[in-house]
Amino acid sequence: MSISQKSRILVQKCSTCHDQCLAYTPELKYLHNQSYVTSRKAQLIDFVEREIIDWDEAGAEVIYAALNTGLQKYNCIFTEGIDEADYIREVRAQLVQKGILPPAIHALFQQLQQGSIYGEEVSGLPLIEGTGDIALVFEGASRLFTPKAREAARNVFLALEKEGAVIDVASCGYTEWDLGFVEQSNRFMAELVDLLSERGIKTVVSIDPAVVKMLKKDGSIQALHFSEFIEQKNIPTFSMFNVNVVYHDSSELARYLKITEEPRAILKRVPGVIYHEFIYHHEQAKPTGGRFGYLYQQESKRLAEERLDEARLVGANVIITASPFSYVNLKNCIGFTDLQVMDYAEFVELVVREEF
Amino acid sequence: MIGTSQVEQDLIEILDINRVSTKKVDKIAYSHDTFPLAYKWAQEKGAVYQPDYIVYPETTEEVSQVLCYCHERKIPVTPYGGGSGIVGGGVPTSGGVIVDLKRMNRILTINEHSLYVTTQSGIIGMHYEEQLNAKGLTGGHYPQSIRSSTIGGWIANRGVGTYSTKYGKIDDLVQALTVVLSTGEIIQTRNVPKSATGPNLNELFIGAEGTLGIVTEATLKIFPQPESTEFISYSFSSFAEGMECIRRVMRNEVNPAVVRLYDAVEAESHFSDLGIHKGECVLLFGFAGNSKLVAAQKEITTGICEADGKSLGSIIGEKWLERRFSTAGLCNTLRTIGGVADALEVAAPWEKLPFIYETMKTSMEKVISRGEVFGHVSHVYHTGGNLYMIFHAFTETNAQTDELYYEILAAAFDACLSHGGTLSHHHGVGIGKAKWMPEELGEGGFSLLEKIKTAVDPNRILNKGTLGL
Repeated sequence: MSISQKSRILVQKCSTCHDQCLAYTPELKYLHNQSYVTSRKAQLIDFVEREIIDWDEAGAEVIYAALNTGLQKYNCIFTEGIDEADYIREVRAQLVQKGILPPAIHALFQQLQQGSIYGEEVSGLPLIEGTGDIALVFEGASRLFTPKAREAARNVFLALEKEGAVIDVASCGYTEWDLGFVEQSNRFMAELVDLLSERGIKTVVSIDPAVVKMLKKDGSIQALHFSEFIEQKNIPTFSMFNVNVVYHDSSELARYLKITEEPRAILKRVPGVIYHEFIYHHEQAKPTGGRFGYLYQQESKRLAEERLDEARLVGANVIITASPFSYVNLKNCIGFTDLQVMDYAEFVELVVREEF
Repeated sequence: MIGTSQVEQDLIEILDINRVSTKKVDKIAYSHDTFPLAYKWAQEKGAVYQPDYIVYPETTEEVSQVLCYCHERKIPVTPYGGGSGIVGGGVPTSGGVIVDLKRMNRILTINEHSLYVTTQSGIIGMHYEEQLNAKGLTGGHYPQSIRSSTIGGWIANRGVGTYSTKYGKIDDLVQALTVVLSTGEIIQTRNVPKSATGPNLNELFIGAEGTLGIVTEATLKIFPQPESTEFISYSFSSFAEGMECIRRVMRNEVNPAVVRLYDAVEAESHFSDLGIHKGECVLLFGFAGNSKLVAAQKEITTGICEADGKSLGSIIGEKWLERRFSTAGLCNTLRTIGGVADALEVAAPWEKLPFIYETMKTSMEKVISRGEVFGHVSHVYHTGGNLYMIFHAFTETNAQTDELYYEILAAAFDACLSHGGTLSHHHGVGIGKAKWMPEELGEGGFSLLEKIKTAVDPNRILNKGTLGL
């Protein structure tokens, strides 16, 4: 079992690299072990490919510890910017097939065999409310981690789209794809696309970048992030909101979907809002930690704490996020009361409520 | 030596189970640094020099306990930071214990009044600089490896940053050190700007490449972030003319942050998209700091450069800033079968530098049948400067690259040393240049270094082979 020729070239380049992305390899910031540097991960893969070594659980752990944020891609020495995620995901899929998985990932896999990696929380889905050719779609992550944002997005969406549908599904397949559970990812994605097609839905709106990413990957249905949808609506006036805000670019939204200006636009227009920028923003924004299923949830809190410190430094008292994982990662840093974390959808609901 | 499982248990006793590794994946990761030949070994044979254990201390005291243990049992120890060293100083050629210092990554104090910082040595350079920048300060030390190297590595290898002509080299920036000797004894030098109390003990460990002790904490000078930064650049018809221009600037009390003179080959490769023509050498000056001083220095430098050079404006500087961390050229050659590349950074006084450049280039080209040699000057002083001689060379197989590499180095260093230059300005010696150390230091000098090594590290456990020790 070999990785693709494309990945093989990337692995060769990364394994003979001067590690200039080391400072931007998020997991190294709290794991402090050379094995997590991109060049070493690539070398490990290269050695397995050349049959110098075999995969074992410790090797699999390094591959699953990789926090696929795309930040190292933007700080790569090679002109094209190599994203380690491109080959890491392929190797994860191989490890799943071989059954060589860290215990925590193995447990998730077993949970997935019983229905969903999100467990009981998403049983009974899909849920469908309303009809129309445009739908607001949530997956398990939004339901689990950002219920307030889900509710806010729903309210705003239905106020702006009288003929819109609201759909909750267990999964869009992103997390499964990221973890190498390819078969299951494909199944969730196909089920979602079938559901949308059967109901004649032409456009999907989501507050979760993962849903947008997966639908764009599929290509059969138009997918918009909630911030793009709001900008298209050209809402003329907003309620006053006296607050110092800073916007956090999520990895998927900024670095992969390249949606950076739409979420900022409303923040800069609302009267009373003083808009700040993080020191590290847009494609260089620092991540807040891992996604669901990530091995080092506790350790990666350090990244969220650093992001909170950065928000304080630039003078903000509210951080606006636009991804369920950014939100929950920041929120989970217990012990702070000086900063409020708010999803973009919650912010929008607050400033448009009186206008409807 | 005692049984390996016992060593592992003892190290776990000193640290804890999560901070001692004997995993295969970790042994592979620590089997090399950025030494060019290490990549070739990996391509040819896999992980050639593997450590037996990797430990992750978090305090000076823990480093001390680990070293004390290894000293008593004569277990080789290799300190490890970001693994960015290009001379093989981080390669565990004798196995033993790798002491990874990256968990020692905390800045302990920042004194904004007196402008110094005390930090643990395992902090990554970019993270260090970011924390200073957040307070409107800078460390003033921005090596090409800043994103992958640690402060401990800068000190161990006597590194320089790209703005070194203004802010100084790491040896100029170190004010005090905490060092653990091989026996576990902890030495702390005094945090004062200068002291006339015998030889400066900091200097014993700066550039010692971990052979005399492990630096665990450092107090470094820092600076307010510059108010203004400006670049100017000029083209010259010859490399020697460019060098002469720098020499004249440096004796006019100008203190530029960046000085870089590219020979025609390197200038074309970096700046052909900016209209640099074949045969032109490019000289870049960068000024940083108080805006009035920047303006004054720029004016003086412009006056000197315009005598023989043609102005290229500020675009060269802007592009250099954008691309300054890229080492893709070297990496692309290294991953080619039979390809080997390196940047040899020598130094000499002004009167010797042009001749050393010509002689090294000619000597290296004689042994490189396929490939190229080019160079640039950077990091300068009023008495002389640093010369980078960069080569890309190709042979048929990876197995032949060791031989080719050392033939090139022999040609280069024979030319440099015999004409009064030094082996290394700031990359250090490691294992790659170790065999030239007796010639570099002279018989008496090298013998003295050997005696110091024996006195400080009697069981000779620290970084075996590095510096030729």
